[in-house]
Amino acid sequence: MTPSAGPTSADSLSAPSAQSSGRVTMSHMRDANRRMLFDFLRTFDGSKAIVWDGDLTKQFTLIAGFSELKEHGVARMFPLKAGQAAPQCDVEHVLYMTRTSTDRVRAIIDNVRGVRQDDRRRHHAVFVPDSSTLCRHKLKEAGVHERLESVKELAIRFYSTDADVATLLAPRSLPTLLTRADWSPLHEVALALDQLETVFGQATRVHYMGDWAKKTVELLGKKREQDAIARGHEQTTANQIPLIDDIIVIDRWIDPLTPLITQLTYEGLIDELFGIRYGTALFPKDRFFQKNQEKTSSSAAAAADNKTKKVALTSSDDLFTELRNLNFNAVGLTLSKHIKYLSEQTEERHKAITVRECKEFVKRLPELEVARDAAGLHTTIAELIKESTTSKSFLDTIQCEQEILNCLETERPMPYIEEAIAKGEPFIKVLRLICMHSLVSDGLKAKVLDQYRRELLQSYGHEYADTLVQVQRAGLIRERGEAGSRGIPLTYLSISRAGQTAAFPALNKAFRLLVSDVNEKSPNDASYVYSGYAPLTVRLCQYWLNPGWRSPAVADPMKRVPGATGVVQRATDIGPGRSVADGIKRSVLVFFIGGVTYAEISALRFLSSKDENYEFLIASTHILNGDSMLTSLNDE
Amino acid sequence: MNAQSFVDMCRVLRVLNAIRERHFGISLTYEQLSKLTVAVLVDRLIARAQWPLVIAVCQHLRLPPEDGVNRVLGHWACQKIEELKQNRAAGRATTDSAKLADVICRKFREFPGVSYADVAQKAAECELNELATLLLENEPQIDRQVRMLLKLDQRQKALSRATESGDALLENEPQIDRQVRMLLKLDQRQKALSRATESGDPDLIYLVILKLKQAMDKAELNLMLRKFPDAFILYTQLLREEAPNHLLALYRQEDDFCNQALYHLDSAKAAGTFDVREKQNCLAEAEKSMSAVKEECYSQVLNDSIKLLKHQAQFEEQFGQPFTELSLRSTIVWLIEHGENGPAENLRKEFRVGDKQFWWWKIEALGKGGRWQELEAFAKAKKSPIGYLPFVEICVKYKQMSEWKKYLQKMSSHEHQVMANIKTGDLTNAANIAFQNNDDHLLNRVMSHCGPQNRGLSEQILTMKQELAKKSGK
Repeated sequence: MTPSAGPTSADSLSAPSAQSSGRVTMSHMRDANRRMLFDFLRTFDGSKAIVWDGDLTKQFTLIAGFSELKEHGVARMFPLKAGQAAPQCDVEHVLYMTRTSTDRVRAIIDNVRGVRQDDRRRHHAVFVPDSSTLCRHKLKEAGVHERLESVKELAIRFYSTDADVATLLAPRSLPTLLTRADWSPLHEVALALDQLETVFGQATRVHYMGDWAKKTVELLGKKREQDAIARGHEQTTANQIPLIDDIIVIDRWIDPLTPLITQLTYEGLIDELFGIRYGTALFPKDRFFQKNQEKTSSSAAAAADNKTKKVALTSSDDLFTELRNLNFNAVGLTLSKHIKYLSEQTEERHKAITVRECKEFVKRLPELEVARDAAGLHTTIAELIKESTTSKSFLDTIQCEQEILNCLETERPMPYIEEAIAKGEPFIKVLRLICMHSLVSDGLKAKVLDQYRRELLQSYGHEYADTLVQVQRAGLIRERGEAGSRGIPLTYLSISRAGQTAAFPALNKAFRLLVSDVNEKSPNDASYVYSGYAPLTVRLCQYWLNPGWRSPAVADPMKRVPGATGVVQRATDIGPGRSVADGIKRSVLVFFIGGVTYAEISALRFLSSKDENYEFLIASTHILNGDSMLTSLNDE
Repeated sequence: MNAQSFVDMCRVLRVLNAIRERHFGISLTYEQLSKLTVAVLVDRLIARAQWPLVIAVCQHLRLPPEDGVNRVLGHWACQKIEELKQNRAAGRATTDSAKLADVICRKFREFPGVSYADVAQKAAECELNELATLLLENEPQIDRQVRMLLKLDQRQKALSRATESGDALLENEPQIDRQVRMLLKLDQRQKALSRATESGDPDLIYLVILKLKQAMDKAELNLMLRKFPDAFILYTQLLREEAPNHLLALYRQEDDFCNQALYHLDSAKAAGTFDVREKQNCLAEAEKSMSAVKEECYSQVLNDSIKLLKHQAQFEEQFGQPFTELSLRSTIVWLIEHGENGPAENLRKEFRVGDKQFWWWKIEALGKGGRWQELEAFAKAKKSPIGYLPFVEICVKYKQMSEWKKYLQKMSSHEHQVMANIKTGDLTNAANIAFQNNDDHLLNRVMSHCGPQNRGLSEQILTMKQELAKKSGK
């Protein structure tokens, strides 16, 4: 018996375990990625060295380990850095790998320029996922094209951190769309969805919500059309039984408000306070119980980051799978239940009398040890979180958020915001609140907006003016009413069409976003993830399940959602997808263009657990929170 | 047993029989064909212009279209084009380009995937540009078409064609990327660009832009790109990296003040503290752009920043301290912290610092400087617009046990009193005040600060909460 099957799992929100038969998971995508990677490596005969940039190395740990790369002939690996010459090692091929991005090409050029005349190795530039025209052009311009044996692409697009989540790890997509009006990220999303459909089969329907989503679905259509022509009209994916019946594409920007609000789930808070990257987070090391063997291994690398402890936060940790989706107020209770269960189990050794019983117990020891370690780990993390959540600054922030959401003050500046500016609290934290204030109040009065901006710049300095301008362009802060149309132009059109978008109170009324009687410990509504606020995105997914977007019952609320909406029905030779009859839920993929929060993911898992017919798979350009979202807007 | 090899053998025998016919007269044995390979056989049949036969062979042997049918059709069309060219050269009567294009296109339509663009290139090589263009319009892959058009350098014509019949063309040429590549080859630049933008594929658009950049001068290119907003945006991304100055010129030309302002703000940051004059200039430019876009708030603040830099330069001389990287807040805080109240007061007046802001700053500065007497005097001089909780907070922050009590009595609101007691660690008192004021919310707040060591108190608070609930129930 695994610990998660203990008494604590009774109120668990986690989806059924990934092993249960027939469930569609992102592991399909991971397998496809692995095949793609290994096939790619096989195209180079003989031994290989990979010179790749740090981010890509970390990303690829989500796909394959070094030992597996070794099995496919990768003898050495080096970090790719600008200004360094090609590394010396005895291999036949040297692969310079980086993500498709022109600023990384520089490093490849430097390396290839450093190839000595007598070098007999063959050098290749590899771009993930596309060897774009610009990258090729840069290589050619630098004159290193001739020294390269080839320029290749490795079309790995999705990175799966969990059984039900995969992202493109593309945090730049949001600022590119919002501050540069450059739609290229939508094309990348279309390519990714196309790839997803080659792996999971062609979905029967593609639903979209929002202008970006609409354009993406159009691009996807064009891409499929072109591919069909190139193949001479033969269809390869249409006659494969789809594992995913429906795809829902949603714009982050139909609901820019949600990421600004502090997430109150366990995983959400870890991300808000410590930041989760590639499914791991860093915590202060001295707070954790140290095992003996860890202490003795004092290599140079360990000494380098002695102060932080890296913790993997994925669905492979049973306890975490259970905790991650809970409201933080329910975490303590669940943890103590879990620890009680563990100690009961350990106590059983006293009951073991016969040799057979002892043997049974001993067999379970390793498993209990893993469970005990996990309990220790998460108790410490919960303690660390609690320290922050009981601080005055955190509580005041939450209170201010609640006041803003309840529209307590739409005509004057929020006293707490003024205080935070004057005290010089972290700029991004203050900006989050101001953006919330503006979005909820349907724009700020000119006087209020000016006061905020003026005080911000006086307190933090004119160096922050550009961030404010970008945030204003993105529509996160603006002047109320007609006057909002002058000044800095907006980039996301549907938000700028004043009057057409519903103000927050109307949206709240239509979708019941604010819920007063929320039960954090055994929730009956998705709003528990923000302790009484359900994101619009989540409500939309909920309405999609029941009664359906086009049902007359929700016609009125649906009208209030900003941006285009619609559905593309695909022609298939095969009837409907897999039947629901055999107890297998149908899979629906929700793709968030421009990012999704951990709390939203938890809320969707909650909806899946309550629905009898459908289960959500979640995909996004990246996972974000308010801080990372606002920072990225002015992060060149 | 696998029947496939039997089927394959039958197909080969059928072909061998067919080419042995008197009409064709190629007698080959199976062994000979194996040595020769099917590909060579196909080439020979092409060379003899046995079109129906060779197409039948390709289809019968299930050759992949790019090696089989499509290639044969390509050769067939090229031969037709060659004939036309020779007939013209010899002055013989012949079909015109339009008719030939029609014949070729009608045949091609039966075989999707065949490249119109390649044949168009042949036509272009034979100096039959008119024919090439006609063929190209049927090229389904837009990128092939665009590339070829660019090659043909039929810019003006292509432009009008593209705008007139954009969609009609698309229907004929299904594969966009082929179309664009071909258009580029034909040097039909604008059409290539137009096709590429239609495709929505940024990579294809960049391809065209890079080509155009080589072939055209800046002004001409800007003019053309302005007609295609999507391509224009990508062009600016390219310039951002390669030629920021040119980008600025472009923003000026487009009256894009917002981006101009951002450009100057960025330069101001880059100027750093090394060159204050340069920084001021950049800020002044940014200020101009901001007032052009009617963002008075920013232009005012930026104006202030320029003035502040002047003061800061002076302070640097006076106090021997770096100032130019400090905000107005940090500057004033430093001054008060070091007892320089006069200059601080001047800055406050000049930059119209809000009353509340200034109180916060001054409290912080006095605490930082350990000027507790001054703090007390400040609290007494006037009624605080921000209450007296901040005074307690600053005392707690710098662990001035004797100081904070002075401010506790000054507080009028029970909320602040509770907060102050939480701050000073007197949770029991905090709970009592909250209870006396029937404030359930504040009781919760006190509760959240109770750790394992305050077990007794948290039980007390629970009782208080129950009593409050009873009271409000009645």
